[in-house]
Amino acid sequence: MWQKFSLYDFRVIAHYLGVLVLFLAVAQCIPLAVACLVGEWSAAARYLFGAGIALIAGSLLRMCLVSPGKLSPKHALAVTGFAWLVLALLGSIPMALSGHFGSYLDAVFECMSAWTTTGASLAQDINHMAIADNMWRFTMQCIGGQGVVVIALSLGLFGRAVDSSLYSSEGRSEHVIPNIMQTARFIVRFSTAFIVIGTVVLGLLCLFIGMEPLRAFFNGLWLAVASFNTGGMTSMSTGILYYHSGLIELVVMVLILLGSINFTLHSEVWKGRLEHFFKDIEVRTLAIWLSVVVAAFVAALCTANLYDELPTLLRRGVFTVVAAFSSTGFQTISVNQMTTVVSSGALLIIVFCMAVGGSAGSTTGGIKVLRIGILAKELVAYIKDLLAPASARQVVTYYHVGRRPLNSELVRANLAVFMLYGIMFLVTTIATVTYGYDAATSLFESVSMVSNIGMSSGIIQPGMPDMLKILYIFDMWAGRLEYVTLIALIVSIIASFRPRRRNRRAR
Amino acid sequence: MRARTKRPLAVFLLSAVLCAVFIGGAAWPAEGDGSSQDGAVVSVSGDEGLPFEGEAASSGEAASPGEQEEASAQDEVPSALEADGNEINDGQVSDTSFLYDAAIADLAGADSYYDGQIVQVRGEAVGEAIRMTGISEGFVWVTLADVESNSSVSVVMRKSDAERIDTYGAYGKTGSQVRVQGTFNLACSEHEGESDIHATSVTIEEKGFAHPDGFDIHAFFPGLAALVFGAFLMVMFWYVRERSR
Repeated sequence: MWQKFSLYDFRVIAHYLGVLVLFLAVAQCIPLAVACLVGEWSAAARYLFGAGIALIAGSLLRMCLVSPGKLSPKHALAVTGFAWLVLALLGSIPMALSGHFGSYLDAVFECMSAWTTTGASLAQDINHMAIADNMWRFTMQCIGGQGVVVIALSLGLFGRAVDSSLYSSEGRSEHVIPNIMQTARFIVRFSTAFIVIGTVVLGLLCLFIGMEPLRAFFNGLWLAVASFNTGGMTSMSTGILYYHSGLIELVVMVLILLGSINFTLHSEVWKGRLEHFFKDIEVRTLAIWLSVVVAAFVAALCTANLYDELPTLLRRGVFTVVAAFSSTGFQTISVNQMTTVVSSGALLIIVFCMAVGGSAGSTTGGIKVLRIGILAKELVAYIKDLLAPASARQVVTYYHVGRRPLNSELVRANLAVFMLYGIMFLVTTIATVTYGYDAATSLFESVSMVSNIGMSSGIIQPGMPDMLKILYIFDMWAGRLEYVTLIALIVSIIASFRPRRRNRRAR
Repeated sequence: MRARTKRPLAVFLLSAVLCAVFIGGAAWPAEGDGSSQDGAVVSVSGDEGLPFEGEAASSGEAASPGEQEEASAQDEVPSALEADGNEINDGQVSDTSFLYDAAIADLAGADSYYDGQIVQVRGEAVGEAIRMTGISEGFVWVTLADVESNSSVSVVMRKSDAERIDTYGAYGKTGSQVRVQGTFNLACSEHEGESDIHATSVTIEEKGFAHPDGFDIHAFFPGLAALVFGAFLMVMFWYVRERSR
């Protein structure tokens, strides 16, 4: 039997969504303040309007239920699921009015891409975008990277009305610290520390390459935010290539790697338990997987004769793989190089890399290496079972912050997510191909969208078909929630509105 | 009998015209690409004129009015070819090493055909001149953008050239319009595999200018109205909640 929502449930969900929308109004004060400071008055007027609309919408949603009770797991699932969509729809209002987007749909695409840290962009003439607009894009990436719910929990926006279900519904199943609110606060503090350090280092490097102090500061901040939160957006049309600096790429790569490792492992390292880090199934799987991918990708680049020197080859190859697996999506191999010089085999390697993704409990997207590691373990266990006598009982364990048994529940859950991703890769690729795009680039773009990567082989442009934009928005939204949350939510809503069947026996 | 004599004459005349046209076509290089067809190096001087000229003129006497038109068309040969020492290399293969006025959008989506070609692009200088370290000291990176096609290209140019750019495009600033001539590299071996243009000539076509935002209180009215209404709703919510307790 499917779980259904009653009218009361919808009112509870609306109330808590209202809380998050009010939080959006407060968040829009950041670009508003920046606009006032740098004298971008038209941008300031737009963000004041955006904050006002969010305030109205949030208050109206909260009025749906004046005194709500505690959030149940069912409500938490729905609040988290809808939060990303509602925030993208309302957050895009000032962006749509900026004149940098062809339509409101393009602005929604941009905001969904920012909230979900995908990093794909439909902005036009981005080189002339206001500092305030860029600030808003990177604020969304920062909040989205940590998780909207994590930020809201850390700020105590939900009061005492929550349990761990709200935290878990955002794709985070592990508690760094037993208390949810403290866990959320640890994640936020930890991320803030790295972003601040990153901003200082990258800001100085931007100053060194010839930027004005104000632009150097903002570019440093935006690069640090986009790297640690694996967002991948940039403030210039040429992307990360604009800076033409190997040092900047190196710092960005370090921040990406820090952001793509499970926060629980960070906490263990912080506590001095280094053995947890090196024994961890995720770290080991990631090390093996990345070694294989880097070797294969560099070999594929060699055959393309794209780069003459080994250091350049390694720099471009390693950076591309790191940006792809971590779901950051920065590109140091330009779109035309990708589609003309780089072989389709190299593209395919990046597609696999994007599909697998990074570490669970981090800011990365994709299927996640933990799941791949667990499924590989299960495969070994299955083969062992086949070879062992019928009476023998195999106990398989894996190491993830301590030794844990590999049970069928876990394998089932992982297989479900694996399958859902596979289905979405397939559906999105078929949909893209039907619009006449090339098969290889369609597969590349689809995996990039479903796994929240943001790399592009040239399809994601303002002129792409609207239906494809809508599909990609859905992909980004669902991908951020690892599909299970959203599909469970959609099924519950459909079940709630389906008329009850009459019982024949009762008649 | 008359018909029998007329036919070979007509065939002869027709073949003469075709020969004239063919030789004329062979001597005339294809427009823009500098190539010719039959593989011989033909020396063209003012005295000799074009090899087909005399033939066309002599055949013109007996030719029909249509043939005379063809012959007169051949007379409209540019004088450059008749200059002393001018030489046509008929063995020259198709050469497209100079592409006039390539669009930035074309280069942003360029295939290997453009690699190593000399191009000329026009665009707005945006951002700033980025310092180049290492072996290319004295050069900077400048990004040229084309607002209409939403595309951009990186240009390596001398610092002295970049200093002539007075304004770089950003919010509230329209950058100088720059025309750059140089070699396009799809994956530049000198600059770690980046797609770039090595500028040989930089011309500032239009100066940039600043257009900062003016403070207009009227632009804030919709936002203020929404904010006041939102605040009113919040107070209402608080009031209702307090009443319900």
